[in-house]
Amino acid sequence: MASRDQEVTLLSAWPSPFSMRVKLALALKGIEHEDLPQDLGNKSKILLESNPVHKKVPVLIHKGKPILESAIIVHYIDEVWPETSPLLPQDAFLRAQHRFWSDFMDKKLFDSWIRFLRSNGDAAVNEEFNQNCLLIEGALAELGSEEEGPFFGGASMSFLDVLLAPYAVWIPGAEQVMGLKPAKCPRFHKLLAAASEHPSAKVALPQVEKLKKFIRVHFESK
Amino acid sequence: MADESVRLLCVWSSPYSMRVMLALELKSIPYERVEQDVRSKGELLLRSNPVHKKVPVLIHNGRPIAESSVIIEYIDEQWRDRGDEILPRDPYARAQERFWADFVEKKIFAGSANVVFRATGQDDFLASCDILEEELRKSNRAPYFGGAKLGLVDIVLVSTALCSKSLVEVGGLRLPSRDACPRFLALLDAIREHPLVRSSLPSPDKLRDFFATAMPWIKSLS
Repeated sequence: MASRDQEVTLLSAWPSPFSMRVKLALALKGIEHEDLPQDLGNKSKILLESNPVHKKVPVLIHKGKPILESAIIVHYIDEVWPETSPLLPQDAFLRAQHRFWSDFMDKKLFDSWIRFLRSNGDAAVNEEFNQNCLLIEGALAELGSEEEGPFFGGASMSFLDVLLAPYAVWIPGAEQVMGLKPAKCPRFHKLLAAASEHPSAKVALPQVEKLKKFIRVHFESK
Repeated sequence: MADESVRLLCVWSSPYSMRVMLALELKSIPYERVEQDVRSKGELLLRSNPVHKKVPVLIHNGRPIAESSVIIEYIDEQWRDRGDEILPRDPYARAQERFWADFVEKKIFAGSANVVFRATGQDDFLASCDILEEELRKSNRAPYFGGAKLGLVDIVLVSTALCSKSLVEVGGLRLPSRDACPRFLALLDAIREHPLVRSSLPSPDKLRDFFATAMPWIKSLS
């Protein structure tokens, strides 16, 4: 087991929700690693060499080999370190449901989210994002058991919870800086609250105040 | 397996449907093709994929799975010991396969669609072909991306392999030259010529004739 844990490096950027996902997965599994924060305005040699195709974070480097794309990295982490805090369900059909919603999050949910930020808080885009949040609320009702806990995984965080957790800081950030009006999704918001209070969130999720400054600089139109 | 019911809600000309059909064929899974009319979506489709209302949808023993990439991984896992593996078993090789499948989907497949349906991105498309060519050269993957047998990336590429004639002759797409991307073009040829592709999927000529009449309608969807 010891050799498996050696040489785990993460190229990350603290505001990136995709980096946050990987940090969270590593923290949940207790995987010791070296975190190398990246300056995306001045890309380092290690970043360009390990991700020549997209030149983006996050990149997980394990025993010298790079793994790219946050959902793919989280899958990899779950497959290499399966015994602690398993993220994907055992059942193939449930796994397919997790992957379906992961695809939805990365296409529809994130797409409407980034357009909201870039539109400096346009109400129509806010509504689109909220409609997508309502679908997540529906997925939670279908896949999560409220008696067991607030997460898709019940009392413990699962794959979908890791992917969604960054919204626990990004949504309040956008609310306070851009006037985002969140959707009425009680279970989704309970999930996010539970994620931000989770011990692993301390290393993975930045403080909302710090993120607000970032949003003002990068997204607010002058 | 006798009481297993596998139905595929599909459209014969749909690239995503083709990919799932090929995965089912590779695993020798008997299934019922249920052709859909996308201009007049039936109740079964709307019930099975309420989020996206799109094909393909696999219905296995009455339970629906949507999104072609999700369906293909489900097929690989559910029928793990049947036929050839679609994704490698090794976690790092799996991560690589998923990465390149995502790249092909976003940069090659969607890239070619941009050129044909939005009249943009021809240079980006060629640059993406160069990137894939370089990966084929470095990794020596032949005749298929999956090596001796078709794998996930080849399955994602099948729609490009079969539709390239249509996209070039009807859609005005420029493919890279044989000099620029010999391995990429050889890969498309090999996929096109695979016995299961020839026997179970529409021919390039049939697709070209279809696209010639359907192009205005398809463009109106973009």
